[in-house]
Amino acid sequence: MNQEDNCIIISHVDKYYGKKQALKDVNLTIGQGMFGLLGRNGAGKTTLMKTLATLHEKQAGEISVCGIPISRAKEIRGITGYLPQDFSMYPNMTVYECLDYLGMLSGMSKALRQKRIPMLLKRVNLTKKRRSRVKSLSGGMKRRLGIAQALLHDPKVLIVDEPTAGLDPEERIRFRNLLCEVAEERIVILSTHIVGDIEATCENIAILNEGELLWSGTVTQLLENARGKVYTAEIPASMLPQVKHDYIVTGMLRSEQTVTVRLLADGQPGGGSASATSGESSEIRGQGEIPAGAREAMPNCEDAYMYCLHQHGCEIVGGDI
Amino acid sequence: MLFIKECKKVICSMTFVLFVVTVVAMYTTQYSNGLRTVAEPKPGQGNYGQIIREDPQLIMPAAVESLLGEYLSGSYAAYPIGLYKNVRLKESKRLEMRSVLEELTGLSGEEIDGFNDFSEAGFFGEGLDEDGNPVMFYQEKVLPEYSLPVSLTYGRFCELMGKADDLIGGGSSYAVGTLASYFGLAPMTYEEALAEYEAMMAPGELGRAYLRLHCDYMGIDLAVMPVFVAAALWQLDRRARMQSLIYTRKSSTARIVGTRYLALVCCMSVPVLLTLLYTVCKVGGMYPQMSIDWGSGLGMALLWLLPDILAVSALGILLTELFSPLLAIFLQCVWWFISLNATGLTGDVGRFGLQIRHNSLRYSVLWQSQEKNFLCNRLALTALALLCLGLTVWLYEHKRKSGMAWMNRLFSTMKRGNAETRKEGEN
Repeated sequence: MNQEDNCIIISHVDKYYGKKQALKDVNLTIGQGMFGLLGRNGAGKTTLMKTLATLHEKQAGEISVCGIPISRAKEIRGITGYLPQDFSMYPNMTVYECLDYLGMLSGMSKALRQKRIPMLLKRVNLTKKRRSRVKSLSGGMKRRLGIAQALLHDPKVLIVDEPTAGLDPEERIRFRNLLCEVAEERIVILSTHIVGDIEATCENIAILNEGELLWSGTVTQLLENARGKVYTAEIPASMLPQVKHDYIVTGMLRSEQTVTVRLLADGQPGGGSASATSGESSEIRGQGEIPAGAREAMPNCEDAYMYCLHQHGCEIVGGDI
Repeated sequence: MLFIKECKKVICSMTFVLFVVTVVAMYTTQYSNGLRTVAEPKPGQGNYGQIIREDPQLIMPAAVESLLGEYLSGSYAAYPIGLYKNVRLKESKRLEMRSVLEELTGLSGEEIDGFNDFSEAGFFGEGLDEDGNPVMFYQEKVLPEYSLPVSLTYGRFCELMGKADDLIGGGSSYAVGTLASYFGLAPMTYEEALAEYEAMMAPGELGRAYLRLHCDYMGIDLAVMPVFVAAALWQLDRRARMQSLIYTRKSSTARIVGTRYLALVCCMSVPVLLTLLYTVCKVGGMYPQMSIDWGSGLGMALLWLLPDILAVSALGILLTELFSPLLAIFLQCVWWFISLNATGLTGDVGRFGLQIRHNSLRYSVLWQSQEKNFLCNRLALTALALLCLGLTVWLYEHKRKSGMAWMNRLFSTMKRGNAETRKEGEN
């Protein structure tokens, strides 16, 4: 089997909404397994997802999904499952009826639907709800029904846009685990701005900002990129505004008089050598005095993501995430 | 089967229930409750109804009297788009109208304008008759004395009436095509009534007559109600936030749109067919001694009613897909209202237009003379339906591939253009 048949290749893709460029010369290769698309709101994640799901047309560049050019929409739809960010289903239909209806639209035979729907309902733990109307389902159940409909025709590619937004922590973990399970046998693209979801599920990630691809690689590489740039320090509470001004603060824990901050810096803070590498925003960072005793910390995914944005000159206001 | 699923979606909607209720209500209140057998006219019966005659001796005096009365009152009734309009002429047009009347009445302009005793016909008061019973007093129309010039031919009369209609702005009762229907009404003779009765009792004609009247009433309902059902079904995906899930399915747009449209038409046809069957049974029961041939009548009924459902549904889905369900319903209601008011009650079959009317069991001969127009009208509606369906498929495919970005761009360009035009205007 050709390697192209098992991956998505995106090369030099541009996409405009009127005069606004939503995707700028995006190049990306996505292989089998979980792939995370990370970025702020409005970074272009949903646009890229919709383009891959044939809901939007690109203006320039090439995309092939498992060897099929994106222009062959019908074929792409046959091998792609899509779970949009904002969706629901006919409220008066039962769970089973909804899946059956969408299965018909996917061109599945009755026998295949009868086989796959109970199996998927079991997999997403909705078997007991098969006769319930969609309007009676909770938010988490609807999301699980969403993933079931996306997997209905056994697609090679699963595109999942912000699936955990609005879910409670327990439902979020359950949903993430479910995605990891289904990713064993297909390409799963997970778009989110919740870094924790990516850290828990994805091996490979890409970071988008204002339509541009800032970074792509493995999570380990991203963490490695931020190694030696993350520090923790205990500072007096009165110094916090100055620290937030001078550094990118990725976490803080207040006690009575002091605050334990987690911050990003290019050099050892406090010695005046803390200067950021590049970009306009880096000029205002790393100039303040941090008390001695700041210790280097192991970066987590959030730190690494923030550092990546900072490294590429993205403006990060007041050290807030 | 996808078709069955789509039918279920249609049937389970509130708008479909509303559709069925209006069909049943229209059928029972307007048609079936008033169904009577047609009796053979008897000599000396007195009143056999009225008939329209293209008789110059009848039409010319009545039309001139009406036009002179309207001229003297200074206002003319017209229905340019089916709605009543009170027309008042400017001085130049009034003088032209006066010259038309001079030729029609033989009176001079001064004689016409100098007549001060003009009075409209109408009731002018209440009182008691000789026996002390309350009565209302009726005032005849008072016009100057005149007689139609002997030299006035019917051809010239029609020309002058056409000119009068033009001066009024069209849509008046003086339009040449409608002169007979307004001014040619005359009492039917026994012989005419008998001939019409016999024509109605000819094989196949009785069934056609009852089904024609059935279609006349149901056509009013079907010229507007399907848009509610169609718009609601088409809006369902948007309301349920299910568009993306459907757009990304493998099925072709033609299959999705076509199946939905077919489900709409089939579901709405069922109650209509049931009322037709009920009519067949009921009328059959009214004439137990006769074997009524329903074949051609049912064919005509389907040809009458089905294009209504096809066209109104197709236009509804197109406008809903393009704009919004509310706008689709509004535009269809406007078309329906104008069409209903612009169509005469009996034998009014235009080659184009939404509605056909023949609100009578009688006048089979008049109907037969209109059958070509009927066929043309229904084919035109069916063609409109197919065109709208095709456009909907095209639009849906565009939305599926690129959202409505192209349309948003179009609208923003138009808005920008308008704003620039306004700005230039202000400058």
